[in-house]
Amino acid sequence: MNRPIDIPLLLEKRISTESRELRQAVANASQVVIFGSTSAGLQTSKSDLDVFCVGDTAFKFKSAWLDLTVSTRAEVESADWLGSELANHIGCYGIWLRGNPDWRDGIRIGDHAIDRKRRRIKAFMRHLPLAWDDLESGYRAKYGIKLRRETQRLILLESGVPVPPTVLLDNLWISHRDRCDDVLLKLQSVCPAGFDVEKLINAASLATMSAKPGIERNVNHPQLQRAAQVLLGFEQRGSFVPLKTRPIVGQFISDPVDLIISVP
Amino acid sequence: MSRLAKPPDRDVLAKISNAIEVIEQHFQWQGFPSKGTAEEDEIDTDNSDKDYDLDDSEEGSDVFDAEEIEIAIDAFLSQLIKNEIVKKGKGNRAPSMESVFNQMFGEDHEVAKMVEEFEEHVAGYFGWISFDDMKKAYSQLMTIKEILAKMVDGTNE
Repeated sequence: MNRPIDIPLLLEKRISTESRELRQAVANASQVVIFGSTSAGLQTSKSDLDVFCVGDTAFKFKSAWLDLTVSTRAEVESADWLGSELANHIGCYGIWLRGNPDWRDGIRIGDHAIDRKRRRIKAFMRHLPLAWDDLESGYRAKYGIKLRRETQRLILLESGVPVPPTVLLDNLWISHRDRCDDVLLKLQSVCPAGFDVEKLINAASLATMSAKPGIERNVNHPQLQRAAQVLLGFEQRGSFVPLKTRPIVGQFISDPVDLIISVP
Repeated sequence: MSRLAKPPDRDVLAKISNAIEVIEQHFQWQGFPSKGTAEEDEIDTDNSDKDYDLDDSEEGSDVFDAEEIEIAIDAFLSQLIKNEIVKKGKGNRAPSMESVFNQMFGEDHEVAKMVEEFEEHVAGYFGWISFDDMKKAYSQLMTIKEILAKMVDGTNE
């Protein structure tokens, strides 16, 4: 069941314990935007709060409860920003608490964002096989999950779809593993000869087996539905897919949320 | 948690120091130690032994993959787990380098602070680490190793 959340109050609580400088930066920002799982209605009590501000000085801050990025006006007007994965995510899912989303009309997933994602996946796949035998199972799981998520994001970016909150990627993967062959094929295409991508992905499976009751959420955000369509390959079929995932917990996996996605 | 913890015993310190060589080897493979700046130092800029694709070299050869060092750090931490120096968290959770050193030495210990700085240098920007950041990171890694060695010898209590 979707529970209404007072986002301004949540922000106030999350920054109240931080430094005076940080609070000042948020107070003086010309734009304050909430993004990530909270803005998409997929947050849990353990979710951090993702905040984007336009301010005088660029900086980043991250804690267990708050992930803050402050960019300058010049930065958000740059082509690099407007084409970036983050700008497209914020533009699509962001909730403006202050200021106008005046740069949002200029966003478009740029070639740079796609190239960066490809480069990152390739870099991991180039070096991971060399170190695989030395990595303890927890780290293998970490890379299994990381590479799977990054590949899902790449598929979305290549399809011109803004990347949704990670909880959706995880839930789609767990609930429709049999329909996610594109991810494996894409990973395999950059994998060095002799390294089995299934091995990498399976290393992550142990981390997803533990089950706890999830929070049920109806996903009716059109862009979330679009992302689900692309990742599940329903682009051509126009199918209606009621989707209720197994709850998942574990290392690097999102908090348990049962998503019910209706793909029109 | 205490901001300064009782340091591990010498045997454990020696094992940590040995395990750090996994990261050190990675830097050495990249051509470190180096003496100059990116412009002066040509030791790494060839990368001819690496199987880089053309599209990976667009930003020049004086940058390094952040992903690569991340894997080296995790291989180091894996050794600590295998040697039972570090325990995994719940749900097979693998700890970060910073959390391991904070727990072992306390947040205010010079080694823990240096590790924090080291991780900042290798965090990269969109996956790339600049030559200067790599150089600083390598220097910090060597200092960490030196401090650990002194602690093992009992000359830096």
